[in-house]
Amino acid sequence: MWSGSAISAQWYLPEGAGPKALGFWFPADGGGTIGNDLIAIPRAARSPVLAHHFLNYLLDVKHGYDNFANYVGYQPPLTKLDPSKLIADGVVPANLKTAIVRESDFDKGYFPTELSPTGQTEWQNAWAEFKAGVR
Amino acid sequence: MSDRDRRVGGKQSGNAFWAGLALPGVAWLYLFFLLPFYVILCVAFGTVDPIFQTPAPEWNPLQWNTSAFEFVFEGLFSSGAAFQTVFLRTLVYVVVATALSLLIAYPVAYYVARYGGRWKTLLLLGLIAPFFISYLMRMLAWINLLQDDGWVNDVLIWVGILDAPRNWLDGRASSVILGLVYGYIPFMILALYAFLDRIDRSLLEAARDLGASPFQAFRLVTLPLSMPAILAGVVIIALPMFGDYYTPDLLSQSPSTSMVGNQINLYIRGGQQIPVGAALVVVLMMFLAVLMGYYIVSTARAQRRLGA
Repeated sequence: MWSGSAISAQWYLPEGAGPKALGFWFPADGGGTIGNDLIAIPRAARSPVLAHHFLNYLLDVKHGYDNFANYVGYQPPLTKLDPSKLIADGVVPANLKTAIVRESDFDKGYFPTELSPTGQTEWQNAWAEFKAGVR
Repeated sequence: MSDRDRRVGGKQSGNAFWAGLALPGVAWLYLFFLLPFYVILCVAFGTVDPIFQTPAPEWNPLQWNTSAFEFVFEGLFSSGAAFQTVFLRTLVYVVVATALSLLIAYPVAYYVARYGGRWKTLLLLGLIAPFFISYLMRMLAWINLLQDDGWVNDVLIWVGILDAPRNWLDGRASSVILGLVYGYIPFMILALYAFLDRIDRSLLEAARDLGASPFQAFRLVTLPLSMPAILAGVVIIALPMFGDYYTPDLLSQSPSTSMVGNQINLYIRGGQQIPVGAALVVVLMMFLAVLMGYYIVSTARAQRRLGA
C-alpha cells in the first residue's frame, strides 16, 4: 500500500474507530519502494501559461497544505511540510509517522521504473522458462 | 464415385453456374484461412512497437525479419530448453490421450454401430449430448469432481483404492490427459461410428462363411476396413489437442504440465516478443501439416486400394 493511502485511510475508518487502529511500515534503512505522481503539461497544450500558474498554485505551501489536509490526502512535494509539523498540526496521526515522505527518502528508496525493451525480453524469456517447468 | 457423380462434378458440365457454387467455400477459405495465415506470418516475421508493445507486422516478404524463428528453432533443438521440453511434453500428452481415446472410443462406436439396433439414434444422441455443454463448463465440472473432497476421491476411498484423498489438481499429467481424453473423445466416437456403420455386413458374413472365427473376422475384415476411420479420428482429435492450453490451465495450472499452447499464449498476450508467439504458431502448424499430409496420402491410397 502506498503511504498516501495509509494517511488518507483515517477518513475511511468505521465510526468510533480512531486512527490508532492504523499502522504503516517502511524499511528502517530507507530501502523501500518509493514513487510519486506527476502533473505534466503537453507540449501542444492550448494554455501553457495558465497551466504553469496552476502548478505554482499547487506548489504554494498554503494551497498545497490545504489541498493535502482537506481534499486529496496525498502529500504534496513541499519541504516545509516536515513530519513534526504535520503531526503537531494533527493532519497525520503520530502512529503513521513512517508514512510521511521526506525528500531524503528518494535518495535510498527504490523507484519503480519500466523495464527497457531488452530487459523486458529477458524477463519474459525467464518467465517463459519458469512456466515451461524448466527452471 | 458413381457415373452420376462424375457427370455433375466432371468437366463436361463446366458452366459457370456449377463453378459458382464453390464460390462461398473459396471465399471462406481466402477470408478466414489464407488471409489470417498471411497476417500471422507477417507478425512472426515482423517486429513489435517498443513503447506500445503492439505487433508491427512486416507485410513485405522481402523485408521479413527471421529473428523470431531463429529464437524458436534454437529453443526447439537445444536439449533442456523451454520450447523443446514443452513440445516433447505436448507430444507425449497428445499421443497418450489419443491412444486412450481410441481404446475407449472404438468399442463404443463399434457397439453402437453393430449392436445399437433400434436404440442407435438414442445412443448417438447420448454420445453427442456432452457437446451441448461448453468445453469450459465440462472442465470446470471436472475440477469439482477431482478436488480434495470431490466425488472421485470419495469413490476411490470408498472402494479402497486410496487411503486418503489425493490432490488431483496440483499439477498432475494424469489429470491433464484425462481432461484431454474427456474433452475430445466425442469427435473420435462420431468419426469411428460414421465409418463402422457403413461397413457392409455381407463382408463379415462372407468371412464367417469361409471359416473365420468372430475375432478373426474382426481382425482381418473390420479392423483393416476401419483404418481410414481410425486415422480420421486420430487426426480430428490430435490437431486441436496440440493447440490446447486451457485444459492444463484449468486442471493443473502447474508449470510442470504446461503445453505448447501455454507458451504461445504467454508470448502472444503481451510483451516485446509477440513475433516469437506467432513463430511458435507457424512451427506448430508446419508440424501438424506433416501429420495432416500423411493422413491425406494414406486415405487416398486406401481409397485406391478399395477401388472406390
